[in-house]
Amino acid sequence: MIDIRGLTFAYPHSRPVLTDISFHLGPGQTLSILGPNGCGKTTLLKAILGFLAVKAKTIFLNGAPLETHSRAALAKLMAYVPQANGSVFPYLSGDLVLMGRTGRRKWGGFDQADHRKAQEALELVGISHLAQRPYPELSGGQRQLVNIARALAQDSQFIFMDEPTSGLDLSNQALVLQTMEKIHQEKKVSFLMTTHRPEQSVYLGGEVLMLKRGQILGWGPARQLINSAAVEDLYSLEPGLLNKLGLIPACFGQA
Amino acid sequence: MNKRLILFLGALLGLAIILVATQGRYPVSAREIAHALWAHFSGQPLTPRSEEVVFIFLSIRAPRILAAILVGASLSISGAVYQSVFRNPLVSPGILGVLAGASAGAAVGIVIFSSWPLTQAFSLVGGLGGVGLSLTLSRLRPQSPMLALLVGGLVSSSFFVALTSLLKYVADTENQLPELTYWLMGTLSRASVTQLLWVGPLMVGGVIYLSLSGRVVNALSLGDEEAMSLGVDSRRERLKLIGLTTLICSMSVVVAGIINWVGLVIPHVARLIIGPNNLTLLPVVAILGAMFTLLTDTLTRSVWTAEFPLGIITSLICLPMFAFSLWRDQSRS
Repeated sequence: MIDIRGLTFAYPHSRPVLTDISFHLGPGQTLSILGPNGCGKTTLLKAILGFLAVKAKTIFLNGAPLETHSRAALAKLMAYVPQANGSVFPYLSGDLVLMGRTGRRKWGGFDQADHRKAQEALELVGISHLAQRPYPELSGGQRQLVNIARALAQDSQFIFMDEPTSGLDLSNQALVLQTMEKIHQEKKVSFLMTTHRPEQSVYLGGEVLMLKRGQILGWGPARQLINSAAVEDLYSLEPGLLNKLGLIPACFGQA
Repeated sequence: MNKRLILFLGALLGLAIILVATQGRYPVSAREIAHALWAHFSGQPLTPRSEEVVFIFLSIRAPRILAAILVGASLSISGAVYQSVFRNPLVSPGILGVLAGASAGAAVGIVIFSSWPLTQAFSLVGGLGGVGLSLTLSRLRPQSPMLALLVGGLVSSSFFVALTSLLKYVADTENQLPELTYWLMGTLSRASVTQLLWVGPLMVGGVIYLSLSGRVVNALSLGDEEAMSLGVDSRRERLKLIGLTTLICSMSVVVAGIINWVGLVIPHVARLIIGPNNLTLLPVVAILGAMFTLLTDTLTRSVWTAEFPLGIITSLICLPMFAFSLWRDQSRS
């Protein structure tokens, strides 16, 4: 269970990026953090992951404050899929997936169980055939699947994804979203993702948290909350503009 | 971890040690060394020839072999760790200013204090100062971190080279200056049992610890956030690894002076052969670095009538190796 209670955060010498954020997410649930660029989506994600120094007792994980968990304990609870893998070395995709098991052991290499978990993750994501290919040689969509497989191998309760379809073409966007849905259904893993694409939140279902200028504009079931009026308000668009431009996806609810 | 490959390379290193032990001005076979050592340690009477063999092996060749292995393994594994931890394949102990800093520190110990423990301590402080200055300078230009780190290392090296030059300027021209100059060129000719008893355990422990740290080094090579998400306390682990690599590099400077390039080139060559996964790469780099330094040192003392400084020969050999590895890397991508 992730429980955020009155989280406010500012980078040094800056105005608050997040103001009084409160929400919770239970096991097996999915949450999309939706909002325009610069609204604080990624900051919120990184704050929960423990990458940022936030005020004590504002983020609770399974009932205990974030700051009381060790790094290894956090890794068992939350896995992270960045927008792009940061390696400067051409690791094999299979090796990268195996790195998802890093926090499980204190010393030495990986054991049979780690290899089995990595193989299962590769198979579930459907990229076993890419295991021996260097990561830089893969397409954008394949790379994102490798990152998802690594998070899956980590065997955590929650997988955090920072704009998982950013920079991908339409077919790769569909591939990534379908893979997320498959993992959610088969493994009951919770996804918490940031996106600025409302239709992706609707597709994945679950909850949506709409962020505007670091504050919560709305939080609730994605398929109920997302409609053209809400999206226009979120992105500060002139009312009726989406309809005028023919940009309302069929999946949006009625305002 | 590819255990078979590591065992195979370990066996090759063993063969290299046997080969090297027989090479030098005094001709002696491996069988002769084995017999003489057996007789010596089992308390049997020694012939005059056996006494000479025991003396040459235990007092001259064994310390030098051990020093070459420790220095080569330390510098190359440190280079591989620095490259991953700083996420920059172009850094090495030489480029980051560690060797120049450790040399300046050791020069202070030699010239001003003439004390062996202080030489070691100052060498470590200098090494840490070198890498610390490089990192501090690189932070001034965070937009291009790779380039900034290289420039920071260059400036740091220049600063400590200038300090060393100052010490050479004030050193006693009869004794200290020639010794300092020859030592800074990189040489194993002064390796002794006493010296190795001081630095050997630290270097052996450091190389073993780093060889087994591939999992954490892999995670750190992905960047702080990814490493943290994988369960690694990135700040603590990075500090620990930088401290340990700097320690063993500084100890290698104490033993052999400045031996450039080994820490840059051996990791590159090893990555070409077995790929970048640090679980296998780090132990392989340590063995290859040890073997390379051992064989190169043998070359410096066997091929010509006079002994050339090791640092000069490694630079001459490593430069084309580095160019080749860059070319291969480029052709692959």
